[in-house]
Amino acid sequence: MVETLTFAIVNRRTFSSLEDHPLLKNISHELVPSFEHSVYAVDIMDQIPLSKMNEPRIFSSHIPFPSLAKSVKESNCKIVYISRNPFDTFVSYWIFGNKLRSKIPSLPTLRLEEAFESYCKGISSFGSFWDHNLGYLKESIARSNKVLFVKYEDLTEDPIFHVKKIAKFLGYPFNQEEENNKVIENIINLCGFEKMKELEVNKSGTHREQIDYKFFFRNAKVGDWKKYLSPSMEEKLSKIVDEKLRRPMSHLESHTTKIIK
Amino acid sequence: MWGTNQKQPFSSAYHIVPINNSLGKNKIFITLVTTKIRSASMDSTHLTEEQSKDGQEASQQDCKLFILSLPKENGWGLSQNLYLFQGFWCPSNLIEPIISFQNNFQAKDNDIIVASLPKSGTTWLKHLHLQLLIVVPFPP
Repeated sequence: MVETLTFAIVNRRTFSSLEDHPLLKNISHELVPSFEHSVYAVDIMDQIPLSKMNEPRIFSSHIPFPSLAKSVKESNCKIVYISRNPFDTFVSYWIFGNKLRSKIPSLPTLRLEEAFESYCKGISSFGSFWDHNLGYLKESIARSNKVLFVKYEDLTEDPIFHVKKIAKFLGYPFNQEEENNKVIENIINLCGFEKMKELEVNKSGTHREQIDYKFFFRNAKVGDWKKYLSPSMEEKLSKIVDEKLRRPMSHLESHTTKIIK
Repeated sequence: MWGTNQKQPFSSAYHIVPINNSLGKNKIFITLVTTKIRSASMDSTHLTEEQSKDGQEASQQDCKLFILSLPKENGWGLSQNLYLFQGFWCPSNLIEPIISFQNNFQAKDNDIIVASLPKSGTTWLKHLHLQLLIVVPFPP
C-alpha cells in the first residue's frame, strides 16, 4: 500500500491519466522491489535487475536501519518508515505464519502462546519490534530530511494529511492547482486507502480511538488483536511496549523538544 | 558497515555458484561471505575494503559455515530458521541477499526506500488493494 502510494506520488506527472496507470497493470513488487526478496534474491528467478528500474527508483525493505547498505545511509536518498502498533503486527504475523505452514502438512500449527513468547523476547523476523522502530525513529529525529517516521494508524486515520506530508518529504509536494483538481484524492483512491479504511472499520467493528502523538503505540482499539490476546498477554505486551518503546521514545521526543526550544 | 567495493558494478560483483542442497534444488548461492565476517557479525565496522574483496572470493562453504555458526531459533512461517545476524533475528534464506545488498548496492540521491517490519500493513494491503485495482475501474 505505502509502496504503491509512493510510486503514485512521484510518478503522477508521468502517468497523469489513471486509465493507463501502470499500477493497474503491474504487480507492485516489480515496481517497488524489495532489496532482500527481489533485487538481491539468491534465486535468480526472483531477481529484479536494477538496470530495468526507472528513476526515481523506489525500493522496499524490512532490514533494520543499522544494517542498511552504507551508501543508503551516506547518500541523500530518502526513507519512509511505516510503523504499526505491535499488537496488531504480532497477530497479523502469527496468522500469516500459520497460513504459510498450513501448506506443508508436516509443519504443525504454531501455537499463539509459543509465538507470543518469541515475539516478547524479540525473536521474530528482522528482530524485535522495539529495536526496529527505535532504529528508524532515532534517525528520523537526527536527520529529519532523511527518514520520515509514519505511523500506519495515523495514515489510515487521515490519509490526505499524510499523503501531503509524504509527498513534501520526498520532494514532490502538491501545488495549489493539483490540490484544486483533487489529485491527492485520486491518488488515495488509486491506492485504495479509503477502501482499506472502510474495510478495517467494518472488520474491527469498533470506533478507532484517537492515538495520542506523545505516546506511540498506545493500546488503541484498532484491528483484531483483542480477539486473540488474553488479558495477561495484553498486560505483558503493554509492559514491554512501555519499557522498550514508549519510555525511550518519550525521552527522544523530549530531547528533540529541548533542541527545538 | 563492512567495507564496500563501490566501484564494482552490480552484475559482476559476486560469483554465482549453482548448487543442490537442502535449501532446495537448483538454488543459486551468491558467495560473498568469508569467515572473517563471522567476527564482524555483531559489529560490522572492522572490515576494510581489502577484506571485503576477500569476501567476494570466498567459497560457498564459508558462507554456509558462517550462517551455521550463528545462534539459531525456530522461524514462524515455513522451514527457515532464524539466525542472530548483525544483532537481529534474520530468516536463514535472507542472510545472503542482505550481505549482497550491503556489499553492492549503490544508492542514488533520488532513490526512495519504504521501510517497515513485516506485517505492518504494507504487504497484505498492497496485494489486496492491487486486486481491488484490477477489479474496480477508476474514474479519470
